[in-house]
Amino acid sequence: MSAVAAEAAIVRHTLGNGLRVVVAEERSAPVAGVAVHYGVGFRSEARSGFAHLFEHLMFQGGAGAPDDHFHQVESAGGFCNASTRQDYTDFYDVVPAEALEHVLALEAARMREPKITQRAVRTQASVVKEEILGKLRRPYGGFPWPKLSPVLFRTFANAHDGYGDHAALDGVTVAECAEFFDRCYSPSNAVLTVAGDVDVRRTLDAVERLFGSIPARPAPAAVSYGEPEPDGVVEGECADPLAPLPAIAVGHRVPDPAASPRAHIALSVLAAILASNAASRLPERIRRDHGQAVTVTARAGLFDLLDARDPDMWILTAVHPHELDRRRVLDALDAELGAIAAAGPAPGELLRARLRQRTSHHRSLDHLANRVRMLGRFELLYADPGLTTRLPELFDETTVEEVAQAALGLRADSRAVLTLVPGAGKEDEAR
Amino acid sequence: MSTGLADRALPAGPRVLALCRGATPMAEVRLHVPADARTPHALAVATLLAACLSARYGDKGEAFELTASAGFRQFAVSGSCPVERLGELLRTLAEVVTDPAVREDELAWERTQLIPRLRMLRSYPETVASAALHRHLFPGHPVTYQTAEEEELHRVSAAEVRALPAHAFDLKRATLVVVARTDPEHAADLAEKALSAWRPPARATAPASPDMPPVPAGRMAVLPLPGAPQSRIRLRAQAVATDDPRYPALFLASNVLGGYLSSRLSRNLREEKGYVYGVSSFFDAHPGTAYLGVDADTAAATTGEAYAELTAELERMRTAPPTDAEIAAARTYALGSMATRLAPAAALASALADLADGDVDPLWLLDFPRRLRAVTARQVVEAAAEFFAPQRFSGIVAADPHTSGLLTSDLTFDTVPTPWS
Repeated sequence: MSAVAAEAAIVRHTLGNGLRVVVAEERSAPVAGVAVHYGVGFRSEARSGFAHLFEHLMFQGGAGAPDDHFHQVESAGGFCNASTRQDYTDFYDVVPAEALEHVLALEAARMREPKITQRAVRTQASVVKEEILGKLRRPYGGFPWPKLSPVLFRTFANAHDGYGDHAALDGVTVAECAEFFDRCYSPSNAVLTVAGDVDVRRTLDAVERLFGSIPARPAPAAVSYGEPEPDGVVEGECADPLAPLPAIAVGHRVPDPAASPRAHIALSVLAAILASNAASRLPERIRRDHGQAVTVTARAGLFDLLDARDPDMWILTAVHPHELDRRRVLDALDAELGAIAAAGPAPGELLRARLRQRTSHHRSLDHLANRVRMLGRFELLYADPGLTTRLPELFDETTVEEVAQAALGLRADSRAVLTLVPGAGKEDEAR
Repeated sequence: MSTGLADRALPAGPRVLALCRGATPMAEVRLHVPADARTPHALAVATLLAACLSARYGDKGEAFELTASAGFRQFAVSGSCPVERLGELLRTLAEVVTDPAVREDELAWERTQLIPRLRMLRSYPETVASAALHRHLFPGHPVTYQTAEEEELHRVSAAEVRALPAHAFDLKRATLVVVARTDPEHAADLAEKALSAWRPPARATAPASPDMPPVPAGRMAVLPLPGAPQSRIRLRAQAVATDDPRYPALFLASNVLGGYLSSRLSRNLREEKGYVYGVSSFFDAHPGTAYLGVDADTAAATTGEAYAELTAELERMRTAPPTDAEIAAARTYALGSMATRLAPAAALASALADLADGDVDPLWLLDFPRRLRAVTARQVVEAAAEFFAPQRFSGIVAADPHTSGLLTSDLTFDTVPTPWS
């Protein structure tokens, strides 16, 4: 009963063609997980939403395969999915342990040569449009992402809508896809991760056999997407006809995550102290000072903690009543940031926030899909898959000073503020 | 599914089920209590109790988190903690459902927070569609009270909230599920100890929840949503309950139709036509019964086409019955999913509690793989022919009546009255 995931050994290996491999054995359930992270996300695309569309196209499976990827994974008893983030696109499969080699072969086949046709391009562009309609044309859809990015950032790479632009996705050609695949989906620009009920030796042998013969291609040159921090407060506004209540999103630039993971962990603990629930500092202060209820969220990282290269952001959102001016919310945020920067969190408060982070990390990692994806992204982004198992300790080691320092870094005179103007529910409010 | 299990019926309730699972040192706890909240006022009382408990124990506890939720026929508490804090969590759980010492000021504040949250919830298109579907299929039934009404929330007193467990909770028929990385007998001991003070209240049993009526056949309606860029198609047909002998065959037939991404619906509407991002068929289970559900979201402009394809695929379940290859794939997927989807402790705990919520013995889940393996191809084909005829389905299309083309189509639709019109 004492062996837990945190103690599982992590094995790293690199194939001759440059493919980085991570294997982590953990045998609490007869299930295996595979993730392939390609080092290309929406930050480096030229067409808004292209990386996301290409992610969809990869599910056609390998060239010459009898069926698409979904069918081949599902008929083996597993499930699969993918996501496109700033700096990577990851594909993952979770299967009964005995189907491991089968899905490794599927991943190898589509890494070697995916099956991409003009018809699939057209259909998937339409599926992506449906996906975006469903996710964005709803109350608070696209809030804060992707609507906050162009307020905080100036360059196309950092500011554009990486989910997908309807117009931009019209007219994508097979040749364009082939060029993108050739340039960005090379083995040397990828990480393959295998975790769960697996034998390390046999897994490495199978990986060598299935992936080793994929021809090497150069990885795209590393590009820096750095840009200056905003000089002052940058304001943006979005209308949301379906939203019943107003809201704000605040975005702050943060230190380079690769250079200082500890700073990001402190920023994450700070987010938990300020805005993890109704009893956190920000909603408590607003209740005390104004007698109003706000719904808040905050996190370090556009999508997740330690999930991108530089630059990334720290985000806070607050949905507030019409009768509470947004300036009051910002004032309360700055008062709490000031208090934490000056005196740090109270020891009990820090303890609770660390524990909360640790608990949520453990609950998340009990899902093999999350575990295998985290190992892979930490290898791809920071060459440090072991960060996955060290995170609980890092949370525990966060000090009062580090959290104070994190609060000091979120300056009221250098931030993006996105204001959501609601269009619905005003008549309700009058009652 | 063969690891140890502790199964104990405590004298005053609940039934305790403990299993050892998990890759991380955590414990997941689910408590399901049959509770009577069949009037809008009773639902408002239960909703506020759930909000007060979630605020008190979801936010401030160092050791664990508890969140509660209320429906018209059950009260549920869900919790998680590091495994060494399990005893503490269970002691708190026992206390909150027997003697929730809710104060008037606490209640007032939770009401202040709850009202905007419910307003936000009710503004989501899927909530709007699901509420309209229930009003259309089950008019007047308590299942149509999806969320507590604001006027009712204002009428609730703290005394009513404090008295709710004694009045409405049927602890004798309650189920407590513990899934943790620890010995199940040890977990059950902790639960037994924590709950030893439970006493059945004077009114020992809640009345059985009102039966869900059968879904009528062939009643389609439009919920007009002017300006909606995306339409929501929601169909239901009468099926059989989870413990019915025909259920496993029907389950596989439903998987063939729309249970996963390589199913017929997903291949046709998503991979071939690009009409949808998601489309699925599934079981919508309630105590004593279940419905087949088919849901799809599609752009206004493709509503008519998507609806026609959905209907055609339902028809094809009879005219082009599931093939042996389709049945084999559906079965392998179902069996594999039992391993992959239920590997996380939280997922297993929730699946077991959901069965208790549907008035099915949770241990049914552990036996389901055996029943799935025993299904013959002939049974799947028969289930497909019997249950999926398009005329058996009723439901709604929530859409802009103009841009979706529904006003000019030759399909016959009723209109679901909007509650706000």
